[in-house]
Amino acid sequence: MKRPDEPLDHLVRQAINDLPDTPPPGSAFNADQVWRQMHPRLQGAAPQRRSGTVWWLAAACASVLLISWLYVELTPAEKGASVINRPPAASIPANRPVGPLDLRQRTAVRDQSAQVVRERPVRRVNVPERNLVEQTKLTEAITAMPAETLRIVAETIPSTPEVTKALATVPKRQFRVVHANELQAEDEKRPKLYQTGNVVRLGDEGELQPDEGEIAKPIILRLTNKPNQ
Amino acid sequence: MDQQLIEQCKRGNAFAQKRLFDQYANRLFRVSLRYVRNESDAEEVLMNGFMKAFQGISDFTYRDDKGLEAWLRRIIVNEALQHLRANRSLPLFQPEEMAGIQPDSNPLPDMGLDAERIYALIRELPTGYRTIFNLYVIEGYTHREIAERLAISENTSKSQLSKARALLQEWLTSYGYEATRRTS
Repeated sequence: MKRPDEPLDHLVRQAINDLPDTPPPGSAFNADQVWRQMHPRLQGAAPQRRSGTVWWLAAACASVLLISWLYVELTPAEKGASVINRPPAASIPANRPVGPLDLRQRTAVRDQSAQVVRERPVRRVNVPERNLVEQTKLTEAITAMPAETLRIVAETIPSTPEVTKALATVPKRQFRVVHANELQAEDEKRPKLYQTGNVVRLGDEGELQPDEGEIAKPIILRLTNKPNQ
Repeated sequence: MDQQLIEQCKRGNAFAQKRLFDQYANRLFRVSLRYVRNESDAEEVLMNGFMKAFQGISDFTYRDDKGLEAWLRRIIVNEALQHLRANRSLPLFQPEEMAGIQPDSNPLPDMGLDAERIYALIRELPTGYRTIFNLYVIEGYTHREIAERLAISENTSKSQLSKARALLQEWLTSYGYEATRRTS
């Protein structure tokens, strides 16, 4: 909306536009003198702006470095790979909590399709502070051994409380539960093999030659300690 | 040409700053003097305004010379209003302010009704009248904007403007100015 234009307003605006580019008549204004007063203040303000810029640049560089470090540290693929490649002993922290300790068996499943680190709780035990680090190392070393080696080691190493506790953490072999009838059915399906060593021959030696077209039929007595079979 | 001057001022070139100051100092001193009657105060307003302009020139985008002058003028006007506020010259709106006021002296007695005389008469207006008349008629602010800047009501701004016009017209009439009042 256009504002009402008074003739006086128009006259004043025209007069202001027509003013010469000089100080008013009778004025003592001197532009050079004002500049001389202002110039030192202007020069004093310049370094402040530069230092502010330097601080902003330093803050920006620090931010970029921090973000880069966080990105490298928290990338999931990098983190998973670093855990798998790390030797077992190196993964033990220097200061572990004292008291009830939730020992976790860290099993690295080295699958070709996906490398996943899986944790599963094994057993909660109370460990004395002085034996804490050694026992943890021993537990993880034993866990990494195959079952056959463990059996041999258990026979040769003198049984100490630490070793006993460590061996207790080894996973036990799992057996399939099968009903007796299933075993019997499998036995019946299996081809029966007769062993000559378990057969008793009766009769003279001359009778060993069978008649023509007649097959000798030996008497078979199975050697078994079960009377019902 | 002013664009190169602005770019050099943005780099902190003192010679460019001096050239820009020389180019607009007189014009902006007149602007300052329309708001602040005292010349030394007007110089201080001009100095502070240029300081702020040079410090904030990195944010200024040059389009043309008119845009540059309008930007500088806006800075000077803001600085002048701040000066008036700091010196408790605002608000100075008294109902009897208008009664019996005559120009302090007969400004420029030997000159006719030209631009300099009109400029001198504007400077003779009381502070409240002069401020609102400058803001509304010359700078082009609305009553709402003036009310926000001076922390007054819109009605106060309108009434002060009306009184300023009446007083200025009376003075101009005494110098031979005859105008037919019209509203468009």
